[in-house]
Amino acid sequence: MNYELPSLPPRVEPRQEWRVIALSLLVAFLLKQIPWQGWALLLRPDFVLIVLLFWAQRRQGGVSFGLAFALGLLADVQDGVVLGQYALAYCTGVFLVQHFRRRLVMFTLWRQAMQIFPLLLLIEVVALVTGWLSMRTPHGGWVIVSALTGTLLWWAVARAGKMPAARME
Amino acid sequence: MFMRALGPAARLALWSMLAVALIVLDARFGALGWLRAGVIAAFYPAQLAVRAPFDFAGEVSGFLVRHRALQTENDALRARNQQAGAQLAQLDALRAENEELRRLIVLRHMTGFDSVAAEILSTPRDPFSARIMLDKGSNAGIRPGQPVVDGMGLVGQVTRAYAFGSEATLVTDRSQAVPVLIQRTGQRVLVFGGGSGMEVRYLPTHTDIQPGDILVTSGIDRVYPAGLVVARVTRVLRPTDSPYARVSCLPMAGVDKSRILMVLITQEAPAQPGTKAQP
Repeated sequence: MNYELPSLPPRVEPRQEWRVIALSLLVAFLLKQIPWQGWALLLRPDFVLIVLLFWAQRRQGGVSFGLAFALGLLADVQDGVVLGQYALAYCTGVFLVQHFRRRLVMFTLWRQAMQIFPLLLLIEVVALVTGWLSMRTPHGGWVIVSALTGTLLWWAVARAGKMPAARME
Repeated sequence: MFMRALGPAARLALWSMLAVALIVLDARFGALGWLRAGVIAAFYPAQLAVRAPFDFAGEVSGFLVRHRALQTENDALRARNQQAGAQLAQLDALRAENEELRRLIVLRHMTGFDSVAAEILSTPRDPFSARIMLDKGSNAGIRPGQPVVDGMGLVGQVTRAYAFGSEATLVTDRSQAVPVLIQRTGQRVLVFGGGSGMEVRYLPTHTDIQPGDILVTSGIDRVYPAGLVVARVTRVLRPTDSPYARVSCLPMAGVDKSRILMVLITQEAPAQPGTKAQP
């Protein structure tokens, strides 16, 4: 996909850029390690996720899903939740930010933040639903199968719709 | 590479599939313990380094507490210590007598336990469970399944042990069930975690239970030794439309207040304690 935008800053040297990205992610990670307690723990934002989303929006070409996945896995291990929960959520977040980046750069900073809010909410919901499903999987994971059979049914219905008898006109 | 040739949606789908595979491997088969342990070990130094200034600040501010406050506290503690000493002597006598009685009726001996003091390293923010990370792990003899207590009573159970740390699930966790008995009547009941508090389930409406009753572990599950204080009953509702009473309790231990906890090193680790303790 072509993400070249005139309003984005000019391309910098890749190695230097990666150094800044790595440093910012490291700072975010260390911030997360502070022994937060009580209200501070409840209010603590996910620093790593925010920095990751920032680079996904700011860097030309975004960040790779592999990076998001690895950072998500790290969050999974540190929070002691099922492995893959935050990996999936982070990947979803990076995808969404890169999908909406054209829209995001058009806004002022405050409105950008407002646009990020539903995105973060969605990421939390993805993590919540994944965690919930992994803990009490309904009917041993057979929910996915109905999606597959539904796909086949769609094909059959669409095919039926192409038959001469079903033409609207 | 071909990954570059794929669109973002397709790449997201691929990574999602990988994530789902990981979740299945971890949640269904528990096959990724080594990965967890490795990552925890790799980032342990960073965690320690970040904590160090906070610990240091805590020590400095603790050092600067006014002398007078320390003195009054010291006096109070000494008085309490004397009281406790007297009670302990009484307790020893009772224990000896109890031992005698136990030997008379053929009962299993209650074994003494070693214990390891561990500090709470962090509290993960996970909406599904109440858990804490401790700073001692299998290097100190901690194994999954061992009970975690503080000065007041039962706090929870070790669910994962790493090399230099461990993870304990609190008794307030929704998946935790503790077999207890009502100290006043001796009736055996099950108490379940309920988010912030706890509740006794499957108790017929006519059961003799009232607010203020103390629940102690009965020891019948061989996970928790008998006699640990677990919770105090706060409210008993006897709804007319249900055969069961609704009993809410609060844990006696400072489940989210204490910083230093004790892990009891039980002799035998029960089979598969990490799995859900559903009745």
